[in-house]
Amino acid sequence: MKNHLRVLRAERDWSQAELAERLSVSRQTVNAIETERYDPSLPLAFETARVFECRIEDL
Amino acid sequence: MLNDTHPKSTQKLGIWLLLALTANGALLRLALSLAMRDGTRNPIPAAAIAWALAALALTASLLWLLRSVWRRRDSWALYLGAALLCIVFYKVGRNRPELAPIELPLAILLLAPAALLVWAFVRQVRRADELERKILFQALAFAFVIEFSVAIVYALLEGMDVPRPPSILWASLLVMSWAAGLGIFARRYE
Repeated sequence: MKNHLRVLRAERDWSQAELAERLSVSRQTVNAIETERYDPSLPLAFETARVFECRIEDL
Repeated sequence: MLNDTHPKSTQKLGIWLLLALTANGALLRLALSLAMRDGTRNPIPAAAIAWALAALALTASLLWLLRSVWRRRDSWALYLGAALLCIVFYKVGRNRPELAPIELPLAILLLAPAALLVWAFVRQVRRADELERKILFQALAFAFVIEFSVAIVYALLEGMDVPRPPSILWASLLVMSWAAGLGIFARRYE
């Protein structure tokens, strides 16, 4: 699934590890989502939207 | 690969400690074995007792160090190491009649790391995030199929007077195929 997670993360100057901590997942999971190798579940997508303070469609 | 926030150096230390502990366990059993063998003819030599005591002290200190690593959060390598520990403790000194009087307490002693293993595994699954659970599940399925296939092949060969493999083979095969599965499926998401 295409996403802008890397851009959103770079805008906030967060590392993958920092984002992983905020989402309570592993850095590997963040990396897999960013590289589009893994599609997150709906709860994780909502949590990501909450962390970035944006709509789920904007991720 | 699991939801660990501790630095990699802690993981490495944990793995090294487990390897040291395993080697130490093997040495301890060998020392006991030597002591028992000589003890059948003469009184137990002082050197063997000294070696056994030294190995025991080293085991205790390594366990203490491992406890601190464990407290800082474990990793999957820790319980794989614990499995290795069980196997080596079991393997060294196997089929040694001179160990017979202490065989039972040593066998019971193995229940402690086995219980630790169950606890660590359940805790790890509970702490894993959704991707990690997916990888764990795929690795377990992979290990199950391998174990099942080998068991079926052996069951078919059993009637053809094929020598009986040691029982430890099944546990080792499960651990090894599971570890291989973790490696294979984790790579997909790197």
